[in-house]
Amino acid sequence: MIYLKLAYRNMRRSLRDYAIYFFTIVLSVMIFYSFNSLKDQPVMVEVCRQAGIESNIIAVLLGFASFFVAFIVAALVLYSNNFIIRRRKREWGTYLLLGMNQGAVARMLFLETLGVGAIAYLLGIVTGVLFSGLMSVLFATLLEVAFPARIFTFSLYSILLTGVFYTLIFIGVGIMGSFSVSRHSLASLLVANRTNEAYKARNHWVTVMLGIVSLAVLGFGYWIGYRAIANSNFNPMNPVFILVAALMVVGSFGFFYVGLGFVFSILCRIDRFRWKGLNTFTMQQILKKVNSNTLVLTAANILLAMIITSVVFLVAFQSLLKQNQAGALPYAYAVLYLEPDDVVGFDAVANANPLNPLLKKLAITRYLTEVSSSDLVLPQDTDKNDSPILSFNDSCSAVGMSEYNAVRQAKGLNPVNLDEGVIAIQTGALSQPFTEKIQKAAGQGLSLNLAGSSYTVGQVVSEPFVSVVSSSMCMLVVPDEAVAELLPDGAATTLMYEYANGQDPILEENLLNEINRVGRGYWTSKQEEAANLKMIQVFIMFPGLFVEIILLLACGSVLGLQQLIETVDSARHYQGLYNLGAEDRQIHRSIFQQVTFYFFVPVALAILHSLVALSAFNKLLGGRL
Amino acid sequence: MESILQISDLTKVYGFRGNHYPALNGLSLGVGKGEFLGVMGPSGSGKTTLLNIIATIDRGSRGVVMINGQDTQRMRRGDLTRFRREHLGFIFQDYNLLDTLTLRENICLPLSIANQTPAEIKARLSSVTQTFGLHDVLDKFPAQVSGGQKQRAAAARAIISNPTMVLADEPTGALDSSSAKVLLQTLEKMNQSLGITILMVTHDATAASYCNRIVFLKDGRIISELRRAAQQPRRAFFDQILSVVALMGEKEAE
Repeated sequence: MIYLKLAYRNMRRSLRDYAIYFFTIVLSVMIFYSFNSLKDQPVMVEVCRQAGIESNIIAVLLGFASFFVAFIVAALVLYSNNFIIRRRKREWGTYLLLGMNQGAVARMLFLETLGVGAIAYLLGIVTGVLFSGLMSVLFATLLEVAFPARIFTFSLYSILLTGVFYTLIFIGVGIMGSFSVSRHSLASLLVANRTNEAYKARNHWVTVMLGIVSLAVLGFGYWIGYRAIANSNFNPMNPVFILVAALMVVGSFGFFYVGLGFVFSILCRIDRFRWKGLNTFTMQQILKKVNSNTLVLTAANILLAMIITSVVFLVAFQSLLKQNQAGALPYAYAVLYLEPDDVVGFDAVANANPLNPLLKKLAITRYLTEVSSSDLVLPQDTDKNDSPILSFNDSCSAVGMSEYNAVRQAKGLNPVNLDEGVIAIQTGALSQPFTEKIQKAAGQGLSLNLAGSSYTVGQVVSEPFVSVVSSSMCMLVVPDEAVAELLPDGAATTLMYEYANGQDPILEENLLNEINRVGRGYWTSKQEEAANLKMIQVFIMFPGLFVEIILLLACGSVLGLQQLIETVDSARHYQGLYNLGAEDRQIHRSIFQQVTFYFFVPVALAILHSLVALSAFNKLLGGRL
Repeated sequence: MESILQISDLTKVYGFRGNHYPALNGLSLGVGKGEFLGVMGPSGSGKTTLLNIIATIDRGSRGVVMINGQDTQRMRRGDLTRFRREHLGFIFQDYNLLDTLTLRENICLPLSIANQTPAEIKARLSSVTQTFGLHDVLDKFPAQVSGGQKQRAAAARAIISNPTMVLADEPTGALDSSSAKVLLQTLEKMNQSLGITILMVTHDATAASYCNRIVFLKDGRIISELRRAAQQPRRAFFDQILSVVALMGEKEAE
């Protein structure tokens, strides 16, 4: 009982140091909880329900990221715990001197850690609930999602997960702390706050070797990761990504651990640089920080890489959606997947309501050809490594010029005019590079065979067509007389109707009845298409933004805590410099350089990681990022 | 003799709201060029306060401190920094070497702070390394050398910028007796052959016996002063110091 009492008193006495420690843990619990509670957020549940997707999938999709978040959170806790141990060694030394045995001090330390941990855990969960609720509201408002009445939610899953995770961390931390008390001699504990962290002067060649090894590990990680992403059977759940994550962590760690030392040891050979103002001091200070905080830097670096990658991804995704909007239906309603013979029946149904007269109608049918995508590009351009999701064996369908132009006009676009023996190619949601290859081939007089006759490609249209009609690949636009020679591409007729009064539930029901009667087809409306698009957008953007903010917060707290602890620890050095006659200006500049550099290094490496990841994704998506 | 330091009627009061406690109480002191002055006194006599004020790290509550003809009590912070850099060198009990820098870098720090050229720095460095016999350990870190070597490096750093006066705060406090002896002999040599003015605070009579004048502080003022006569052996001076210290102790006991 006495230990409990002492532990409690200790906490109260070293309040400032404990405050830093405590709030770091609260913050980390909040981050961990919020991240894992995403799938239970009412807004997310609602979005998933509307999209007809099981909301548990979110947790699975974020599996990779949650691995990193766990790593970062653990690093935060360990780091602040190291800080508190360093600050308090002397106090423990005093207990030992007063006759308490080492086991007792270790036990007391263990109790303290658990006590602080438990309180921080509760507080962290509460702030996590508030924080994630507010984030939900903010993003729901931004994305114009109607959010449910209940904003705040206690995610049982996340509470339990956080509990288990932190219990493990704290047991680890407590054991580490107790171990560090029993390992040190009493004398070293007593002078602990006056001695500096041991400075390890490293052998030059060892540094070079370790540097090369860590670069090699990074490169290997890049290579495996790139291949796993830019691959036709890309699978986010691929276990190889755990290996990639581990390689990235190890490689980055190695880079921070030795890379800078190597660069600085070269800089130190330049006299002009070395003996200028506080340069040497600043460099060594950075080096010391980087060396003793490699774990923190690695965490920040990995986080930043994830943030940069996902921000670029979200921006690219937004622009993709914009492109899709350009492919919206020109008329209010469309019926898809019909046989040409079904048209008469549907037209009758569409025209049946005198209260909502049919204004305009369009029909367009796709026909089967023997042309495959690989015929559209020059032979040397059918590079197998080009785009993993584009298969060159797809055959292209064709549409008649007059039907095609009618749709274009309905969209307010100029018609495409074809001379005799000439066809056009409408590219679908295709990649930019592929379109360019077709254009290149067309420029060299590409000709294609359709039903025994030869046609030259006169034009390549890359503006988006109606996306429910055009295939993802490409479509040939051929003269009307050529269509007569071709067979319809299965149920490939699309009808479009425009009404005076827009939406019409009676019409929708009638269309459904007709669809059921003929046994094929599917109706959709302009509004429904827009809503679907919007839902996809929300489904990606909401968790995207949510995770982004949490990662940013984690990264900020990692670097911020680091700088805070650094300031507390090195005040003595700056006093020393001031005594030696360093001007305030010089000292401030040195601190500024240290902070800037400290921020810059993880950012620079993170940008490199992101570039590799993004180029792999770009490859996967055929250059559309 | 040309005066380097002239302190008159210096008072320093700590505390606030009626809870005052004077650390220095109307102290006056003059130090001439080329002197090796020792300041002795029991704990709480105001030694460290006096040294901090002379070092321009602290300010007095009243009084004048003239160093090389300039009143440091009236200077602004920025001017003080330059003044300290140009006129003062420091040796501290705990060395105050930066643990991340090699001894070479530590010793040269005052010069690189003052933006001297690499050539000048090299020239100055080689002259002080010779004086202090540090040649073999220049590229080691403070953690890798002995206490005596650390303190000699600190002394080298103190004089590398050719200061008007070197201030030493218990420089032998953390050293074993043989290292202390080497350091004190070095200080003596600095004083005698380079003509550097040294002001050393100490409570160790042996260390004090290397000085050529000693002032004894108590309760914030000078209560006694000893001057080493020309050609007086150090042993005799040491006995003289001990008797003053004993006398001060007796007064205390009464």
